[in-house]
Amino acid sequence: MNALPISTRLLLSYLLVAVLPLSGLAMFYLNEFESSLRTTVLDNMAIIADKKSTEIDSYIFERLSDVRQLTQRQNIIAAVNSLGSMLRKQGLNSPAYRAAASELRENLQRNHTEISNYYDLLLVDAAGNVVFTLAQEKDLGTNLHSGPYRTTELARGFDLVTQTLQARLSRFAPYAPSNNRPSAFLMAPVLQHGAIIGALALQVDVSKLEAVVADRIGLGRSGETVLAQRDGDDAYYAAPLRHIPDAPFHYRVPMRNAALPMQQALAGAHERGMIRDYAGFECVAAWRFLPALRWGMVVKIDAEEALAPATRLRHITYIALAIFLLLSGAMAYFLGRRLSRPIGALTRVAENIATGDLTQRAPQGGSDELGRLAHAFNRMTDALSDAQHNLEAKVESRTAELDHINQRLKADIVARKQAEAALQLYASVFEHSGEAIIITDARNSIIATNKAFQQLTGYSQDEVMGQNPSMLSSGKTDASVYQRMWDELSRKGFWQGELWDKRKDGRAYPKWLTITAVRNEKNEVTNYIASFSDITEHKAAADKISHLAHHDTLTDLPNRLTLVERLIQAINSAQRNNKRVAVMFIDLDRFKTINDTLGHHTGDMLLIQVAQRLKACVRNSDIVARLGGDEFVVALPELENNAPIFEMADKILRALGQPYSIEGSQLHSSPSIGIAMYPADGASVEEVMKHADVAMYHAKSRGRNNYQFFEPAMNKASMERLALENDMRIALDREEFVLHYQPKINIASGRVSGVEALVRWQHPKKGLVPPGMFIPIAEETGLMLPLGEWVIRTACRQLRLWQRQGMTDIQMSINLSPRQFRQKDLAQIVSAIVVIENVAPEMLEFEVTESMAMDNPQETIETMRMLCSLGVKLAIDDFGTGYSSLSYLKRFPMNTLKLDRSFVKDIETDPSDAAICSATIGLAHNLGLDVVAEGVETVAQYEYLKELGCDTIQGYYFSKPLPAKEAESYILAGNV
Amino acid sequence: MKLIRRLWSPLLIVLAVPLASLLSQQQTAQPIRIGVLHSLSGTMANDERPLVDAVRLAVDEINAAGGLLGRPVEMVVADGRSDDRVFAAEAERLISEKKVSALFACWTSACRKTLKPLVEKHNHLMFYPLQYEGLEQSPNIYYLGSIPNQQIIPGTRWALDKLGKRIYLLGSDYIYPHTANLIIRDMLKANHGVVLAERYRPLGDADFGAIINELRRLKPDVVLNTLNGDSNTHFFRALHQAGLGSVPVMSFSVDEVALQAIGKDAFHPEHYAVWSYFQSIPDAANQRFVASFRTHFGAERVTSDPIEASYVGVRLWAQAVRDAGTEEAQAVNSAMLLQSIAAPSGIAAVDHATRHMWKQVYIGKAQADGQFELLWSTHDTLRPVPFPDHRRTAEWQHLLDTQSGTGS
Repeated sequence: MNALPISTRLLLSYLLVAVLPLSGLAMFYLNEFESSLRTTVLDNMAIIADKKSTEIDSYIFERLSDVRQLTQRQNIIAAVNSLGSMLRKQGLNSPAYRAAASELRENLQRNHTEISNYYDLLLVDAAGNVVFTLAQEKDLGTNLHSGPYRTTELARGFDLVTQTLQARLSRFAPYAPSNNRPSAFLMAPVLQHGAIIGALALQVDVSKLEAVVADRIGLGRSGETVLAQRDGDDAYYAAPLRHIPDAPFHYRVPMRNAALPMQQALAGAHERGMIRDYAGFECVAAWRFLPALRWGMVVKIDAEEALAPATRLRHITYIALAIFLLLSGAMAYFLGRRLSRPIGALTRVAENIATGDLTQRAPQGGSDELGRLAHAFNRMTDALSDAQHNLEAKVESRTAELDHINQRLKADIVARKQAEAALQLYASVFEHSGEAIIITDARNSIIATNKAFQQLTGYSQDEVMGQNPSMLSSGKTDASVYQRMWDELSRKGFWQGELWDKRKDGRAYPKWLTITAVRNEKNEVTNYIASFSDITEHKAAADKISHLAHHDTLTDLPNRLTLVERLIQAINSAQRNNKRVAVMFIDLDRFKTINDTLGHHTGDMLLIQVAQRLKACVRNSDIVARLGGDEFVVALPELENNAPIFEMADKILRALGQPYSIEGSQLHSSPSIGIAMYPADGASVEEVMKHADVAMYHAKSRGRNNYQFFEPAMNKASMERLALENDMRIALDREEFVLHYQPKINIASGRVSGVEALVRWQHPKKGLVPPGMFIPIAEETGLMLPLGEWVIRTACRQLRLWQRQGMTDIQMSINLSPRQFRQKDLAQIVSAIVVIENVAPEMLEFEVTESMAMDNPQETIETMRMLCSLGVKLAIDDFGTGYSSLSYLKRFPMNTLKLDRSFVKDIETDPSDAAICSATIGLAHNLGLDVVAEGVETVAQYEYLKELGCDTIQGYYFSKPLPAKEAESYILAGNV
Repeated sequence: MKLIRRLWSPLLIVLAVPLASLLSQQQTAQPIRIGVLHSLSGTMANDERPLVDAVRLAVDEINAAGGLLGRPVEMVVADGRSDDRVFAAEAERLISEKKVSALFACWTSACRKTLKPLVEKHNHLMFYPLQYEGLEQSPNIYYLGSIPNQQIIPGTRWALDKLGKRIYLLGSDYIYPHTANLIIRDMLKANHGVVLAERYRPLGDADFGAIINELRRLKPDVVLNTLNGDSNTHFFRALHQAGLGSVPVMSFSVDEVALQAIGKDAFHPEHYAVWSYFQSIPDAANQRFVASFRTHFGAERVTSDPIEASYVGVRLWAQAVRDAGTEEAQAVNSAMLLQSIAAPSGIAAVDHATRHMWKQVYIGKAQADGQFELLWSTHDTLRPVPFPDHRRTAEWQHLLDTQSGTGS
């Protein structure tokens, strides 16, 4: 080492002492920074992947409930039945099928506009025949078990939904009848009275999921969402790919060659990591399995972009180190040289002197240490003999001093250069960043902004300097968000999220903001760095999706989901502030009738108007929502007392009771309102809503057009009713219903001319349940249809039994309920039973009450004509209680009038009743109708009616309704 | 040499900084605890003991691979002694004193319903590994087994299609069979099946004479069997003795372990079962699982649906702990919502809306060797629907209320 020249030694020792530790430290911190950056980016990818998979699942879940709701529509159920039977019997090209199909098509397009979001709507019958399609492609009329499309996803889906009774989404696959367009099917079974009669399918394009793929928040410039499904041994890509054009449903690779994350995602993995993607790029990614689609999803961003800050820092550090190394190396070498040159001169002089040449003098220049040394050397030479032995020591001490100064000098220069170079690079990165950046000091005053900031906000640098960034806030962001932001910043030093700010011109906009706290070595915050971008467009797309998920598509009111969310908030706040929340369930009276008679389109228009009126009734802070069907909810939060509830309920009754003008005609409806309170009627949203529902039913039973507050007793009543309803559902299977028969006596012959069949329910626990209790429930729940059908069939069977025993002249009267009478295929059902049970139709008589007949006389005439064409007889029941118009009475194709029992009761004592009876009998005979008097209990009533010329008598005077066996004995005895 | 001395202090700094940071990361490796609460004594012990083994297998695998968050996982096993009160007390102890991160607990519905309010009160986390009657949801419980729309409904439909429409319903007298039969009746209605009789026997009952006589008289196309526990052994022995080997039986609660208990001598040749897992699933992943289970616990042991579900539950929990970066119950609960893994039964994915699992359905036929031969599968996983679509939720709730009055 001592053999090396001074300048080289200086250089080497400098490198060892300064450069080595410096570069070591720099490398260590670089690695630390890089690994924490990597963790952050990985976390971000995982958050984005989770968000996307939740969004996709919710979207599909919503669509499945759409399908389920469609399958419950009466017109869909009816269409599966009627189109199926027409197709089977008459074929695809028969005029009947074509007319019915085109009517349904128009009806769907008019009344269910949401269907236009789907490519096709298909109806399949229980045997797998495609009996209806909206798009009319080649699949129409084929069979999904045996036809050409039996291997499609539609056929597989049909099998699964009928096996599981559960709505589901099929896989996406090219669908042959639609020119191999990639499609999936949302399918649900169609049930009628609990039995499977077919299935409904909505054909979905893959483009419907693109909103989620296209949402690039947090994915930077190079990020993308890759979606693929497993198809045999291939991965089959389902969304556009950045590096492969036209990928969706064209690009496929064998599983083992697919990128590793996609392989793993398709096997069910839930992971994140640094990987190579399908195009070989190094990426930061998170991957998920999406069970609802059976798809794999990889959310990724190129490592080059994600880790750019680390790469940048690495470059800056390398450059700074290199410059530092070069400059200080050169300096060390140069200083070393300068130091060694005069020493060399002195050495040469000294060597000469050592040879004895004492005339030599050192060159004397400068006044620094070396100058003084030369001077001293010369003086020493002058006094060589006494000073010679001190010389070397002095030189050495001076050299050391110099060395020290030299080093300080070098360090200063190097540090300044390094700082300058780094600063310049940072400044340019800062200034040219695409994201707006704000830097504040520890007290959160702005100390710098960049160009993107100025463009985005409209503020110049000078306007914001020294200000608090809160000057940008719009006041639209909840204070709790800021609170969380500061919490997280102080805990983790990092926060990102969404805020609403405003521009200089006052316009508010949403932004995606990332804040990092910068700390010094004492761990004190010195600065905050905030970067953000305007996410108005992303928001708009996300808002649209969220709006769709949270609102009812018909009325645009919040749906059940939103209602529950907001009620939870309202109840939480009421709990804190010791206030009350009122929940009002509103149901439209007779809405079903309007829907059934005037069509769903009119019903929908009515619902829209109701929604508008409700909105007009409430304050801004109140909630109006539609639960589906004709059920609405109004909730009043933050109540001090109950007074505003009465006010509101009255207001709603008035508003919804006004006539509605729909497409030129006037409609009338009224609401029934049930009200329940938090906390008085329940501690949870579910409980309060359930009780409001119960109260609403109570209001309905109180004659509609009124409101009722919930009382615990109602719960019991509604539970009993529900229990009865449930019992009734199984009562048919368990054969708990029986028919009793009340004889009718012909006055002229004195013989039994017929019987009226009356239904009774023998409940296993409650005993005989009166018809007045179960018939209304049956009507309301739709159970009346199967029950009514059972009554017709059983009465026919009994009739045939009697006919076989020789009682061929007994007529069987059967009552039709309003719902049965309005049933579209009533004539078909009756005709089928008549054929199957093999009875003579002219011995059957159907009774329709006067008020039913007059409810919609035009329709009554049509239904009666259809029944008449089968050969059965018709009677008007309870005559005199409705308001028959004579002109209609003439046009009804009927055979008999039944005089209501209320007139018969007081016929001997009340002259006006007697007059009505007399007039009615006269009128009937003029129209060529027979008259039956009901409720005859005394001999006096019998004699009086005989006097008036009444044809037939029915009532306890002769017999009460009897079980079949007893009725049989009665007829045989009377006819002998 | 002077130079070397001068270099010492900067070199020391260079070495000291990374060393210090390494040391600070090296925490003292406290184990993460999980509570495993099953009956190890009493009437349920034979069924529940294998579930503890399933958890142990998963925990051993996790620890062999370096543990979780750099820490080992430790099982705290407790005995519920087939008694709901003991279950409640032990669960309280595991949560409050042992500070476990999660509970893996219960077999019967009664046990689950006992622990549900307790786990909810602590806002803690529980994993329930059995197939059950559905009609329930809790923010603190992950249900790992199948529910009726993933077992009873497709199974009944298969039986109607393949075995016939004249049905005999036989079950133990408690909530699961009652609810199951309610749903079966809906299914029969939808598919025009006929119930010949619906019979219940007390849990643990061994006397099937009357049932056998009735079966002989009615000759049903298939018996839908929801018997539980060792009543199954007695029932199948009685069938065997009566020579009724040709009556098809579709069981909803007989797995490989129960089949072993019935024994080869009472083998019933027309015995079918529906599960989301059978030991005979041929996939390589399942074969590895079976081999590993046998290596751990003995070559004579069999795996079953509840065993697989318990094992999968631990693996999912571990993955959620890793994602959450902590074993704290609430954080793990939310990290669980979107989990999925490649499981022995196929892909196991959590449904975030219900905290139940997506499940594939298999139908197997019992073989003389104590295994089931796979006959049919849905090929796709089915979304869990705790309240099946074909009735309204309020209606189910009401049915459930009336059921719990009569059930045990």
